[in-house]
Amino acid sequence: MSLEVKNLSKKYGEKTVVDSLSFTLEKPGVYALLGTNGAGKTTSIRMILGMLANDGGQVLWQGRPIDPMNMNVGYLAEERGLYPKYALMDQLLYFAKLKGVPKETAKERIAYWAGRLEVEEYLYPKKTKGKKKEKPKLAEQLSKGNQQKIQLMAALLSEPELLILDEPLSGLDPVNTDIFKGIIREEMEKGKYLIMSSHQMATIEEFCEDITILNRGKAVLQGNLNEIKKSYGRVNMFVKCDNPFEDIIQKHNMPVINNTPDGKQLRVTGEAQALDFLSDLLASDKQVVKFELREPSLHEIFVEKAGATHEEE
Amino acid sequence: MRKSDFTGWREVFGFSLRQGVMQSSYKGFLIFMCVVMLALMPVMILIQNRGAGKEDESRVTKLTVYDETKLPIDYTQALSQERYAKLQVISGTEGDFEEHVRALEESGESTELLVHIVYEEAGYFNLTFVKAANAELKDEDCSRLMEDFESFFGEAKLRAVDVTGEQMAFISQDVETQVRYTLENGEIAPKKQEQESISQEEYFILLGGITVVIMIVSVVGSNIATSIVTEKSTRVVEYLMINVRPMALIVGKILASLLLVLIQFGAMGACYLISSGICRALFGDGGGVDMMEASVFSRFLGLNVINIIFAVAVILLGVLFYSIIAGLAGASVSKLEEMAEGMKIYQMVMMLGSYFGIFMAIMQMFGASNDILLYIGCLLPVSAPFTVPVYLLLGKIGLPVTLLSIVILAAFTALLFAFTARVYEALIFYNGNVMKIKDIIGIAKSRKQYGGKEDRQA
Repeated sequence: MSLEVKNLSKKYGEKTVVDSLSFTLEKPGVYALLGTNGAGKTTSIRMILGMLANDGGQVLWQGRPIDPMNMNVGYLAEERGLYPKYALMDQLLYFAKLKGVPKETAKERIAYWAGRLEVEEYLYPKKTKGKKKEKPKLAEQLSKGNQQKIQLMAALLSEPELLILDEPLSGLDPVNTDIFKGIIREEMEKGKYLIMSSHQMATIEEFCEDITILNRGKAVLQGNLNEIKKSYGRVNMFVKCDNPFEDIIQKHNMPVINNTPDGKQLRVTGEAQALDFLSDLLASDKQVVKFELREPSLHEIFVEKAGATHEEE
Repeated sequence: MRKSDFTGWREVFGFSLRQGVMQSSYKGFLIFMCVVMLALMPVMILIQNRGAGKEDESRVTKLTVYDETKLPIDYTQALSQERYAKLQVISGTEGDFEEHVRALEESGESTELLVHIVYEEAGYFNLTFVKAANAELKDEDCSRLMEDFESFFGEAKLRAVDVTGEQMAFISQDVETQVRYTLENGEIAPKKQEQESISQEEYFILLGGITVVIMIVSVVGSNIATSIVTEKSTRVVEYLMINVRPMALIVGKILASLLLVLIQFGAMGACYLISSGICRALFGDGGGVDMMEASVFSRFLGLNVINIIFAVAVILLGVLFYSIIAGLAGASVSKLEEMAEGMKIYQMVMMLGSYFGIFMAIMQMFGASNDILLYIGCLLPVSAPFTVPVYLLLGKIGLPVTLLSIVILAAFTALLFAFTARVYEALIFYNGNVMKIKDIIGIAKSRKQYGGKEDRQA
């Protein structure tokens, strides 16, 4: 067991923003911290990192109270930023120095990550023959996506044991999203511990085995993603036929979740009801093109859990 | 406070210093001030020499003395100074005074003066200087000559009644009056070290000293506040806070800003020394450099190594005190555009302190000050950084007052530091409108209620 969060709480005045949050990262991999806006994800991350004092609870790393000042942790904050008027190389070297990375090692790693993230041109000014060497690029001269890359570099420069990524893919184009995903995958393969917060459920499903869904500071769902899905059962049925089949739907009194050109998504109570439905389709010669029965997606689980708590409140 | 609260201040210091030095505004101002300091001494010498040339040579070419006192004074010996080399002094005892006035008017001499000396019945000597209607002489041409002639006449009338040179020197000594108090044992209390009034030159030195400290404090303060607001508004602080604690951040920034200002003053001082060294080498006698420096330094009666150390200590403590306020003010703001609003409290406190120092200097120059005002100005933490260094070096206050001032300032700085440590963490993550003092005090209270940093898991 490497990272253990126990009953972590935070209050601002009388308002509880994080209420007894507990979870563990037992083995290397990506842990997802999900929640609606204002659910308490960033506050929880700040408390885990020791930036914010907690009002109760504990965070243990390798069985001891965590001290980010004396451990190797990388952090990509949700609200990202760089010094707008300072040279990028200076900033990266400064961030590496704060992490205790020797200057030469930092330079080597910057060169590696600059190549990996395709930002060499901003960090290493060109020198054209007969012309004056270009001035180093400032952060304010970069696009938002490129600034995001520089900040990911800053988080990775110390080769952290624990990497916390708060909304790492937001605002990235598909090409850069793939680059970021590739890097996250590499870090997983290196045996690193990652905590990732994101609103992109597909990305979470791609990387994470374990999740916590937060709503208004409380953990409303926690555990292994596959087990959570299994617990819901295969209740999502996707059907496409050449002939209309509304009469069959009415017969079985099934709610239509989604209606697209690719077919209809229906909610069933279980496999038995789904098989009955399929038998009726075949018997009435509806020309079945597609029939799929599967577990709910993380998106659906998230909407159900977060939405339910909203309704309760 | 834990040791780790300051871990990383060196890195913050190094980065802030490097970025500060590399700023073009800093380099530009440094070069400008160095050029000013290099040119200062030659320009002053030029002005002084030009002024001295005019001043030395009197424009009056003829002085007729009409003395009705009948004292045996040889007026041809009057005004023997070099500046009167072209001046002719004549004893005009023939005829009456009106004839001499008429002759002066008719002569058409525009640079001639007539002096009428009488002993009035009321019991005093009256010296009346007359110049022709068309005279080219201005008041300032006559005033120096009148002063010198009056001085000559004062001595000459005593010599005329057989007072010797030794007696003259004795009775010409300055007269000093003072009020002393008796002690309970009946003895007279010792003469006070501190003086209640100051000269005009001392007043200008005080103003200069206070201005220098204001410059240091405001430059360091605004640098720190700008840096904190920039880090907050750009969210860089999010990254920094996992590596350094807020107090390490602020300490690193304060020291870097202070060093940047000291580099500026050091460079300016070095340029001044180079400039005065070149002037000494070029003009042999220093071209008046020695005289100018001596006239300033002679006012610093408290100038010695120990006092310099204490004066620097007070300035450094003052910079720390005001920088912490600036840091708090900066952290209470979330956007650079709102910085001016957030800095109001800092500027108000600094103005209060510095203006009190200036007010003290004015009151002392007019002799309207007393010990209580002096002690308040030197012991109040907001005004002490501006007043104590220069008052100490001028010898207007002693070491006991200075030490007490340092103790009070250090205590207030420590209290402010502890308060800042309590609220800074919450302020640095605060994002919204500019915080008011009552909001900040509210945070401090709630931190106390919920246990504050002690709950931190680390």
